[in-house]
Amino acid sequence: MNLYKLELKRVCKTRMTAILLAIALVLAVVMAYLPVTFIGWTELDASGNKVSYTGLKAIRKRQEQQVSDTITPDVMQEALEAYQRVYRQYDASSINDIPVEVFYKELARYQPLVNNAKEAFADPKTGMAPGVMGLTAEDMQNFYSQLPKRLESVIWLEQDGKPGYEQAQAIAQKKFDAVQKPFTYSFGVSSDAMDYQTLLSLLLTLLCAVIAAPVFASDAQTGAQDIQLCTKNGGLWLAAAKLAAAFSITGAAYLLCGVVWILVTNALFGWESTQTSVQWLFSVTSLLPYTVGQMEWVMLVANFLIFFAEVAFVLMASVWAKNNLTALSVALISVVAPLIVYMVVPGSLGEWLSTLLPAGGIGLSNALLYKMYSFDFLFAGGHAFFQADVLRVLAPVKIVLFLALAVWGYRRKMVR
Amino acid sequence: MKLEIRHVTKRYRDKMAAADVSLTLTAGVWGLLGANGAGKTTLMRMLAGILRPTEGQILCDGVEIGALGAAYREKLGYLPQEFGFYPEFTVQDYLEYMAALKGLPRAEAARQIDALLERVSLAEVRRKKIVKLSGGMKRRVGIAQALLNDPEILILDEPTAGLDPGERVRFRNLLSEFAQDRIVLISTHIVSDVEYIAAENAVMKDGKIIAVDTTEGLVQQIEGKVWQGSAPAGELPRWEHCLQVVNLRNEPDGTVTLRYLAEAPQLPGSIPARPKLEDLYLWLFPEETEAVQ
Repeated sequence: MNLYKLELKRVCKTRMTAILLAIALVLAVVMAYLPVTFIGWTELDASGNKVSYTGLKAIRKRQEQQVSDTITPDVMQEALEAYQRVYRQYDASSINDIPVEVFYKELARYQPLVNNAKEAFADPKTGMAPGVMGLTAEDMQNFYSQLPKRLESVIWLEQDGKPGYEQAQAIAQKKFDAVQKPFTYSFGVSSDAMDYQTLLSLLLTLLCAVIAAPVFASDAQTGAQDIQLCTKNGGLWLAAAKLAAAFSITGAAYLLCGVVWILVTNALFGWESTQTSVQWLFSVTSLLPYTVGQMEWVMLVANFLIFFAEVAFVLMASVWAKNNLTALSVALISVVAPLIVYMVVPGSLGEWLSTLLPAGGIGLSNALLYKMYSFDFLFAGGHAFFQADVLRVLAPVKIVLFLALAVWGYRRKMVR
Repeated sequence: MKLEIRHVTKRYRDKMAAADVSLTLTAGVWGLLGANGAGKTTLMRMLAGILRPTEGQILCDGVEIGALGAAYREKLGYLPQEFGFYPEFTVQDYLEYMAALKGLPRAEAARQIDALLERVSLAEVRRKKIVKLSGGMKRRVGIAQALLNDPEILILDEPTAGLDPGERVRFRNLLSEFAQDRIVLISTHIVSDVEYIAAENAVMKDGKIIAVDTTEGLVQQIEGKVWQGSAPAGELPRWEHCLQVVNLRNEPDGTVTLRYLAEAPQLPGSIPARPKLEDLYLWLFPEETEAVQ
């Protein structure tokens, strides 16, 4: 325990660690604030001039015009009727034909509802969504019963012909059955904000990889390791203390920044919006049985596990590396490797590789968030696996594997 | 306490760092002499348990040190040639960290750190970062960490490198006091350091132990091979070229006094000189004098 505390003190006392942790905290606040600036609102003032707002004021304006929390078929119908009335009034064929101030005054509150309705009634063969005028009141009454059919066509469009397709359909339908309906909606936390949570996760992983990389490698580089290895507790006790301290510091930093991001985001966008079903943010047939608030915490925990798997890998690399530069290079490459592989290796191989790599699930377009709300499956031996589930299940396995390899590497170092 | 090195060989892919080394170390200060690349550091690392011999065994009181594991490491103090430390640590932080690694209870560690900092004259800089200390002070921190656990076996690889003459004298005295009933093995290039305090010396060359004896015993090997003579200063280059010169001194009368090694006197008027361990070292490792010349 004493060794653990001293190792904790040692890592915390390094200037680089202090600077990186401060950067991480600032990033958490910035990443929470930036999506707020994307929200806009336009209205006419008393003189009839257009006045536009962005940021917090725009959010508050939009929240003033809130639709009811639970989106029943009647509310869906009300939304469609509002849209069709305005479209007819302005003889519009698209939203671009509606004056912006009218859009914000009459339609903005209904926008996600109508957009999702269009998605739900998209052509099952082509995926093309109908126009607003192509939807009917009856469609809106059947909105929720239409969703499983829409999901079936989405899976068919994306996965048909792959071995395990039937299983993918079954998995998707089963997951969607667990989604609570009718959906709830309250304007606030946006999909942009969720993107920024993912970006924050990538940046925190990079920063913590830099903190973890020298934990063992610097001892090899400076020769400190030679002295440590011939002390009573310089064997596995020291390795355990170093691993525990590195996990404690990086883990605490990640969780602190992640929690700060959630608190700041929800405070800025409004806590009511955390009750919104995630289907309004992503896809109407998204398989996630969460509200936005639940999703934020689920993402924090799931990304945290993946983050820990990557830190375990970096620590393993640090044990095996003979100098800081090697350990740091391996660490940084390993963080971005899943993203690069996802972009450059086509098809199933790329999907599998980017999943199996230590930081699989950390990144941008390959990140866990997108795998969770999309319909990506991995196929092997005629079986289908929901990729987001594979990423989440693999993370603890990777943690154990890399820690075991780190300890094994350290044992090999003890007597060369 | 006895440390036996039995037919130990350490082979790397393209090099034999230690070849069939056998040596029994008993209580007292041992000097390990040898030129660069002779295999001293490799042998010390094997004795410290951080390098496994390719062949042979190292036994501590009859038990293989690998089998003793932590029990052996508990008895050990080691200062490698390259003393690595954490730049962010103060002297106090570092010694506390090392005390924890050595398994010292906190109270004992605090007592031991205070005492050692006084002994190595670092008490006043205990709150200073190691990175800001002079080379000699850093070396003394290294010596302090090696002594923290009051080791029964102390292995010091070039411990006096970077120490000024005063510090070297204090270090020698410290070791002499410390070595009672303990094994202390010191490798150094500064032969005078071990000449004063080593009870026995082992000389390594090309990975092998070529001589083991007391300082007096070793010095006897070059009895009658150390000479002192003088020559005009203008002839110095010629004599330096053909003699193995240990030392030279310019005299006020324009001559140079040369101390040199040879089977027989070479300079006219040479007289035998009293041999020292340094003479033996240079006799065995003539490349060391060539490097200087």
